[in-house]
Amino acid sequence: MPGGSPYEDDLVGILPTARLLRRINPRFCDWNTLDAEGNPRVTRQAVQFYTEEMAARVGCPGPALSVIVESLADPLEVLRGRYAGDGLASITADVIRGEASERGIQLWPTPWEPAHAVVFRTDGGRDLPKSVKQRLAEHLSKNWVTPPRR
Amino acid sequence: MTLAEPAVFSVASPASSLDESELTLQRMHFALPGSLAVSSSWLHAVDVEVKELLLLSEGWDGAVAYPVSAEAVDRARRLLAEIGAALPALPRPTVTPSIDGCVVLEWHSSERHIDFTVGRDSIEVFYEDDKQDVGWDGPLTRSPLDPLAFLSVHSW
Repeated sequence: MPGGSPYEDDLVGILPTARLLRRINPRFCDWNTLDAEGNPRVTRQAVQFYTEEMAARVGCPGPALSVIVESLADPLEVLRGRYAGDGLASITADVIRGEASERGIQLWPTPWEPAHAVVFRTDGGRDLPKSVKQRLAEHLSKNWVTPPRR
Repeated sequence: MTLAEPAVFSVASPASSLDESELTLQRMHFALPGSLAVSSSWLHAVDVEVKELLLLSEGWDGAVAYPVSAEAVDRARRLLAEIGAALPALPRPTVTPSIDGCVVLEWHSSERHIDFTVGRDSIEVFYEDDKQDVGWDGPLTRSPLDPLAFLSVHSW
């Protein structure tokens, strides 16, 4: 999407220290690489942006990655039920945004997830570079809130 | 063969029906010293894993993910067979689908990573070596390094 993003980074509502939760489908996990607690490594496929067409189907105006703002979210037990079968891992907003604010975060509530937010590229790009996705996936791997079931 | 050495593909492929990605792999296979027609022990199990991705239906993730395409699965299976034959001692890769219908095959360690994103029409390769500060992301046919050499010279 040349010429910028349809989203706006919410620097006031989503502070750098804000914890964001990312739903992790177990199919995106490397079950051959487990940490000391037996939790799998998250692969970069877990942080791939929705295409424009996918985003439109969930009511979003452009490519983005869905996250949940923990401070606005339902209790964890409710989330675990809502996303049963999937895992949840956390990452802070400053890590998502990057050192040069290459990425933004905007609250984008949906009927099924009032605390839903989107991560987007501030230049309007359609997906994150794979090297960035690797770094984000590494962060998520170290911050499981609810590991998925295989 | 070192990491800094550019890939040299000098062996013509006899299979004229293959596309450029597959020709590249065949050439890499022929170029590798010690290439043997021996299959890796994981090949059958991983091949089954890849085929099972065809069972994913529309919306398998987040209600919007695309099904994995049959073409991508076929292409990934051929890629696996090539890699397995070229490097029988390699450990098994991790197989994941992507939300846009591709198959991703990856080898990962704490210091390096390589993956192949196999789509309906193309194969992309992404590799990183933190120690040697080497990285690439793009079409397999344009990779400045021979991905099989990258796989073969490291322990995983």
